[in-house]
Amino acid sequence: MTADRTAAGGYGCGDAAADLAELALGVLTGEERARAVAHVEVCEACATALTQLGAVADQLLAVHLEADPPPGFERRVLERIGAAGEGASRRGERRRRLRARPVTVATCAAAVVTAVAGFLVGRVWGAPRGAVASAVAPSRSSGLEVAGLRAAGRAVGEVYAHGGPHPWLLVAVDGLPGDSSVTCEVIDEHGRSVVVGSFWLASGRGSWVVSLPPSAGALRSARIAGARGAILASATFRP
Amino acid sequence: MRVVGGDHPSRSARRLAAVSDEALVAGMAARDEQSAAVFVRRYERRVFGLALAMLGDAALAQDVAQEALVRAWRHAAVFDPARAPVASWLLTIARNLAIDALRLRRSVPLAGDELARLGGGDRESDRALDVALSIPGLHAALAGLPPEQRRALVLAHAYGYTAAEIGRIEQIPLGTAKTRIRSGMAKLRVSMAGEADR
Ligand SMILES: [Zn+2]
Repeated sequence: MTADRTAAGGYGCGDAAADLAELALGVLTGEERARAVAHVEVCEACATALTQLGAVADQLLAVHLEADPPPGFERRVLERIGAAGEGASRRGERRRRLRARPVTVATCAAAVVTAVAGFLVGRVWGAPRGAVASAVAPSRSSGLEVAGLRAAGRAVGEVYAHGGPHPWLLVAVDGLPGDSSVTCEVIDEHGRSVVVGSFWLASGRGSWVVSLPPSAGALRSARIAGARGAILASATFRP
Repeated sequence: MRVVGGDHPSRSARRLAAVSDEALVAGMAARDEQSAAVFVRRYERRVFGLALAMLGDAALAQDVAQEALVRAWRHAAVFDPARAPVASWLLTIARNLAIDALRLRRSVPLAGDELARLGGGDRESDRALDVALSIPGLHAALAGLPPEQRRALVLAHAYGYTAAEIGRIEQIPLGTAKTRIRSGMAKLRVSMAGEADR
C-alpha cells in the first residue's frame, strides 16, 4: 500500500516530505514523529526517501575524526560489560602497564579542549552580532587554517590551526610508518620553533588537539619529528 | 607492537581482528566476550572522536563513548544488518547519547523572552556553531551548502536542535527552519550520490 494521502488524521506524503529530513536526523519529536513514522510504515515511496536521507545522516556521523580515548578507557568499558577477557591473574599486570604509559595526547587534549571551549565562549560573548555569520563562513574567516601534512611528497594527514587568544592546533596523521612516539613542533612567523607536545602513533595513525603558546602568532609551518629528532612530515601554512 | 588505547590482544582476539563487523555483533549477541573486546578496540576511537567533537569536553565525551559501547553490547541481539551498517548503528547510539548530554547541559531552555533579553543571540548555539564549524570533517562535508542551510544542519545534526528550536535561535518562522533542514539534506543527498557514482 502506498500514498496514504489523507487517511489517519489527514497526514499524507506532502506532510511527510516536510518532516522526513528531521526524522532522519533524529530531531523530530512527539506527535509529529509518531505521525511521520506511522506514515512511512504504510507508504513505500516515503520509506524509500527516508532510507536515502538516513544514509545522508549516517554519512554526517562518519565524517568526524577519530580520537584517542583517555588511558584506561577500554579496560573500563570491558569491565562494565564483563569482558575484561584476559583473566583476573593478568589484571594487575595490565593495570601496571596502563599506569606506566606515558602521558598521551588524550590527556593533553582533555586540558586543551577545555581551554578551547572557554576560548570559544569568551569569543562569542565579546563578539559583535555578525560574528555568528562569519563563524559559518569558510575556514579562513572563522580563524581556522588547514595545511596538508606531507612526508616525502606524500599526503600523510592534516594540521588545523585556530588563532585567537588561546590558539590551538589539531594534528591528524594517517600514513606514517609504525607505532612510535613523535613530537610536534611549530614554526611561527618569525621563524622561531616551539615543540608543542609528543604523541603516540598507532599503526601510523593518530589525531590530537594541542594548545599553542598565546605568543605563537601566525604559524608558518608545523612538523612531526621522530624519537631521534628526524623530521618525518611537515605542513606549511604560509611559505 | 604497541596498541594505543588498549591492551595487547590475546591470540584469539588477534584471530578475531579480521572478522567482519556483522560477525562481531552476532558474537556479542551470543554473549561472546572476545567479540566484544575486539569490537571495542575497533570502534573506541571513532566513538570517542564523535563524542568529543559534539561535546567539546573530554571527560563528558569519555562517559558518553563508554555508555555507547556498553549499550551496543547490551542491544547487540536487536541489531538488524539489513537496516544499517554496524558503524552507523553504533555512531547513532553515541550521537543520541551525546545529544541527551547536550540537552542536559543547556540549563537555560530556549524561551522566547530569554532570547529577547540576550538581544536575539543565543550563546550556547553560537558556541555550538563555532565548535561544530571547527570540526574538520563536518566543515568539509557541509562546505557546498548555502550558509543558512549549513547552520540549520549543524544545529540539528551535531546538537540535536529541533526545527522549532532552530527557528527561535535564528529568529525565523518554523516553516523556514524546516525548509532549510530539508533543502540542506536534499542537496547533501545529491552530492553524496554523485560522489558514490564517481
Ligand atoms: Zn508517503
